[in-house]
Amino acid sequence: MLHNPITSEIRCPVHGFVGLTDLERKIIDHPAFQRLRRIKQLAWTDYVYPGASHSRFEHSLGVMHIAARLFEAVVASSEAILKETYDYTEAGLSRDWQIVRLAALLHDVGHAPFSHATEHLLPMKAVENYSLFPGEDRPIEQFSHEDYSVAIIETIFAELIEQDSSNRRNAKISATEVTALIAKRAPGGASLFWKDIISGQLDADRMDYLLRDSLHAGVSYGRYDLDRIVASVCAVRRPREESEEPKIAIMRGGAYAAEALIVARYWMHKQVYFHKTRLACNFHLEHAVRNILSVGKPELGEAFYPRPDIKDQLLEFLKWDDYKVMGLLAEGHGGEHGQRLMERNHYRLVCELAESDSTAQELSDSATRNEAVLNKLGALVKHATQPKTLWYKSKANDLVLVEDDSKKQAGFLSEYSALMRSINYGSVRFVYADKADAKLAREMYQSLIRDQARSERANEPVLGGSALPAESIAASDVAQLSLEPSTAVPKPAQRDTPVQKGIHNAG
Amino acid sequence: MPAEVLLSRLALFTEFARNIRLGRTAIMKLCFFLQESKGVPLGYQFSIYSYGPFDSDVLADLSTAERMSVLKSDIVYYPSGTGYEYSVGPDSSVRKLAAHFLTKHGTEIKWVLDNFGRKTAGELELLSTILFVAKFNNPRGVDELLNKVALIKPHFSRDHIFHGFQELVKLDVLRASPVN
Repeated sequence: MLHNPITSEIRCPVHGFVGLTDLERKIIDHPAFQRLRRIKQLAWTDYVYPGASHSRFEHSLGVMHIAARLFEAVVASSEAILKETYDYTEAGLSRDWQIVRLAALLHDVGHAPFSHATEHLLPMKAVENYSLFPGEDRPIEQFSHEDYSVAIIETIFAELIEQDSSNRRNAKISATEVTALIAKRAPGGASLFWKDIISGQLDADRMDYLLRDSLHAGVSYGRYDLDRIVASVCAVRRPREESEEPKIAIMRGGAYAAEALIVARYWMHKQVYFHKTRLACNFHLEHAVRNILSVGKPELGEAFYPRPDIKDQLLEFLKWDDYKVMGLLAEGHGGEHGQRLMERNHYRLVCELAESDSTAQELSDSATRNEAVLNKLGALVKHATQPKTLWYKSKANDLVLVEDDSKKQAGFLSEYSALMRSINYGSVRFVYADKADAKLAREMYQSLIRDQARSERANEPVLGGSALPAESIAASDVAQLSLEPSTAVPKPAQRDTPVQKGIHNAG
Repeated sequence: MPAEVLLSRLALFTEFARNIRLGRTAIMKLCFFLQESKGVPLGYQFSIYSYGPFDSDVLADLSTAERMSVLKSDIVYYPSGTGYEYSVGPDSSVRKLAAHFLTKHGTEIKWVLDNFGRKTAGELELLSTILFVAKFNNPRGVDELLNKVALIKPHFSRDHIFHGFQELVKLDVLRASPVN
């Protein structure tokens, strides 16, 4: 495959030399991309793993590097399928190679300061009518960092991409074709086939962040055999009963490497992304930045970053980076939560409330039981968070497997991997208290659990539900006191924040 | 995510599987139509891919449904490879736990099954792509809608796409002309 020449290289701690075309070099040199040097990949995680202070800048380069490797590997193994399905020519493949690389390079350019940690402060989308959809308004939803990436590409980088002399003369790539691979909902062309490489079950994003975060955090949990995966990716024509479209899949010979990737992700979530202190710091950071953004706003709840759909505001958004937030925090503008961060006086974990998924009844019972625990702990609870990704990221990883010889779909990875089927990380709610109250709250929790276990034995549920997670029973076994909850709990007061959902910590 | 949302999704899967044996693609697209056409709040966030609207959370929920024995999957051998089909599993308690959801949205679920449950994967991919583009890509008219779908599905003829569009109009999922 002929493609634009690699004309320069940057040294990457994970991949060695990352090659760049002239167009990519121009994009990287632009201030809107250089901003990523000042946005940490893992927010405040260096409070737990001091080495984890790497930036979105190096991650973006790494994603582009892996995306290109995956693209080239799929073309090498499945050129015939691609040419038959999409009428690809050599020039067409070279063109899409560049589109995929640009999408990978720019996919995170819209991140807010401290990456996912302050995403809840992105504003809400405007309500619009559907032109072809009867009678309903578009539901109100929050902008995502991908929406900002798309807006920045269309506003800042479109001219740079489309007016690049080589691109204008040869490939004629438009910014819209790049954004189609990034946005959840942008319209796309035939190159949409490659979206799985940017955002899918086998994407370059996760392949890079697992290796990179692992390296910088100083842990080994995120390591897997990238070379084997690259050597095993292909396009597969799926049974017509399942899909008319080819899909990026993995040959059976690479099944163990794919399995290792999934296990790596599971371990990284358990050990790094959902570390109790990291989650607490994210909470304080969000509230500190909300405090900063609230200047001039009548209500704290109206404090958001500038909007991506108004050009002046988008340019204003680009002025926000970690440096700016850190400066404002140092000047005391972050309020109580900013102060807590500066002094590392974060909330402390009281307990992890697991939702069982062994049976539907157990799920329902454990949810009821957990609510009851939260109610009993009352005002001691300062923060409770139930990251959605904890539940979902461990489960939505099934990959299409392909027979090495016949190149037919052989089924799914879960069918072949007992390890994958057994990985399960049920939804967990992390409950936090102020440092001064944490010991009391933990003791109360253990007392409640012990009472619950006792009632279970006597068949008299006290918290609702019928059984306890094994882990919690074990905890109750070591409880040494018997507090009376009704006298020990302070008068109910509002929690700082209700249970939050959907915190995304990785990727 | 509240447990009741997950229980509702699992109960929905059993309602699908009770009526028709479905593969992953079909379940994905039926959920899409139910949420984006009938407004049933399933909480999924679909993205567009060459194979139509997709949310990996649906796969995660199917995995949970199997783990809980709410659904069971069987390997199916097609001439061009193997796949899965789902049927109702031995644990039916989820239907009781999410009875309110099933009752409240029974009409919409039946509508989706009646109109889309017997379609091939290819038809579902095309129809769901048409709805996705109409709903989220702001086409200014039918022509632009068809053009945008044709870009995503280059191997479908424009006539074929137009036929799909007409089918969605007939079902009152889309209007025949723009309002604005």
